[in-house]
Amino acid sequence: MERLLDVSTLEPCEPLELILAALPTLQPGEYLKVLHRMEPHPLFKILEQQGYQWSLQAGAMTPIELFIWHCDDQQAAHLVQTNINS
Amino acid sequence: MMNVANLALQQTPPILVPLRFFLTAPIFALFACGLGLYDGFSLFTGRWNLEVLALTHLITLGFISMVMMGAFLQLVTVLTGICFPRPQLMSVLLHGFLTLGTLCLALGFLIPQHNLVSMGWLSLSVAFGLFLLIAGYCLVKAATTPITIAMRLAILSLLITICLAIVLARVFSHGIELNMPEMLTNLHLVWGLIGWVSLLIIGIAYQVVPMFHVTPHYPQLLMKWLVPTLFLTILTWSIAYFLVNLNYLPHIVATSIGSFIGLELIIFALSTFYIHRKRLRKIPDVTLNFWHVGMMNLILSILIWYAGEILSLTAYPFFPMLLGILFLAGFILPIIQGTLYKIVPFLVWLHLQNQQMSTLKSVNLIPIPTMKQIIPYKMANYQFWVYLIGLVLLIAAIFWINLIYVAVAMLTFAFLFLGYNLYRAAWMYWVMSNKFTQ
Repeated sequence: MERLLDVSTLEPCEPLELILAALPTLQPGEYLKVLHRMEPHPLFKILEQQGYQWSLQAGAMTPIELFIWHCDDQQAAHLVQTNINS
Repeated sequence: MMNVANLALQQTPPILVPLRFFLTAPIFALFACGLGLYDGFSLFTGRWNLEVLALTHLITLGFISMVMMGAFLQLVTVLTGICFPRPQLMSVLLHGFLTLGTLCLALGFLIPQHNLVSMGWLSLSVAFGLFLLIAGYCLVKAATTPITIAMRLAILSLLITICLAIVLARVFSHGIELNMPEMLTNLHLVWGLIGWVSLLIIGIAYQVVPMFHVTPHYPQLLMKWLVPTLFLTILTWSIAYFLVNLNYLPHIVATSIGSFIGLELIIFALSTFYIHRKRLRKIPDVTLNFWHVGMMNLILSILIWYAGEILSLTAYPFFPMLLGILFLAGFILPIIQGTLYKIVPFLVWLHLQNQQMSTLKSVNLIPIPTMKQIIPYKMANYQFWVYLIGLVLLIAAIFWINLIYVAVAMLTFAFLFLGYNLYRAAWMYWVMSNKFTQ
């Protein structure tokens, strides 16, 4: 299941604030798709520390599409992989 | 393309390194206001009045250079990824000597006392000398980008400003008779306000405006050429102005070159309006208001200077006052306040986030206040309006002197308000920071 979050028009640190607020609400099998205008480097260390995995790709609507899921959630990981491949 | 992702945010120096400068600046602005409240009428008697000199230096050194030094120490590290040695110690020394030097210089002008002026310029020479060494250390190693070029040329302009200041201070403290103190003062003013301050504002705008106002970047051509061209124009104007004063050249030559300086600054202001119009998120933003007021006053001050030259108004006593107020209080101070309202909450948030990540496990996370909670929009917006009213009254007071005390009272309130907003943000940082360490 996909949860979409568009932060492409927000100023720092609002994207990071919104992403960190959304992550604890992810249900098993869910992943977060973030539409961003840049690679959010400061976020990656936090994700690693909090037990999340991520994947990046160039987006159609925004320069960056970021996928985040819990590292124990195999179902979400599979869905992200399918989404990226498609 | 420069954006937040290119910043070496992990290299950010301890928060106190820039914050001690940002928290001291409103106090100096309040000293300047205090001087205006004590004897407002004498401030408009002419630019050579010692009280005007004291007030100008309280603002240019105590507020403007104080904030710019703090911002520079912060930005040079995250933009270049190069840390300077012992940041805490360096920041304490710089801040200490700048504070002491500004106080001595202002008091020396006010009393007037030559020894205090000497002590002031000695202390300021140490502060700026150390600052130039730190800036040089970082910028020599840094990759060449439009922002680092602007920083390098701003630093070079600061060096020229300081050299001119030392000559002027020696003139004052030793009572040396110099043929052309007005020429030296004008060169000092131009290199300080347009070279050091405006070039750095332009360089910082290249980074801060697209990042915080969510706009496209300034046009590539402008970013590449504006700052070097402006620097070269100031240099050419300085040589021409010097020769004009020696009667080797007619006055019109220096004025014509000077008009290009104005034109280049107008191009920067119009470009800022242009990219602001194209911002992605058109929601109210008080820092944007500060930038718009700043840019409008920059354009206005240049147009008035052009008009003054054409209509021969420059000899009237009100004219330099009007230009000085429009450029200092109308352009530079709003830009600085608007930028502080972005940088301070961002730094508080960033340091709290880093602290939380390094001290707590994910299960114990404490909610960190958002940037909008650190300095609430409403509080910044009220302060903006108080400042704007104070500014309009100050400009009106040039033509109707009775308004001076109301104007200064409003500006006092504005800087008290600014101080409250900044100290509140710092207090929020200490409270949260203590929670992490408990």
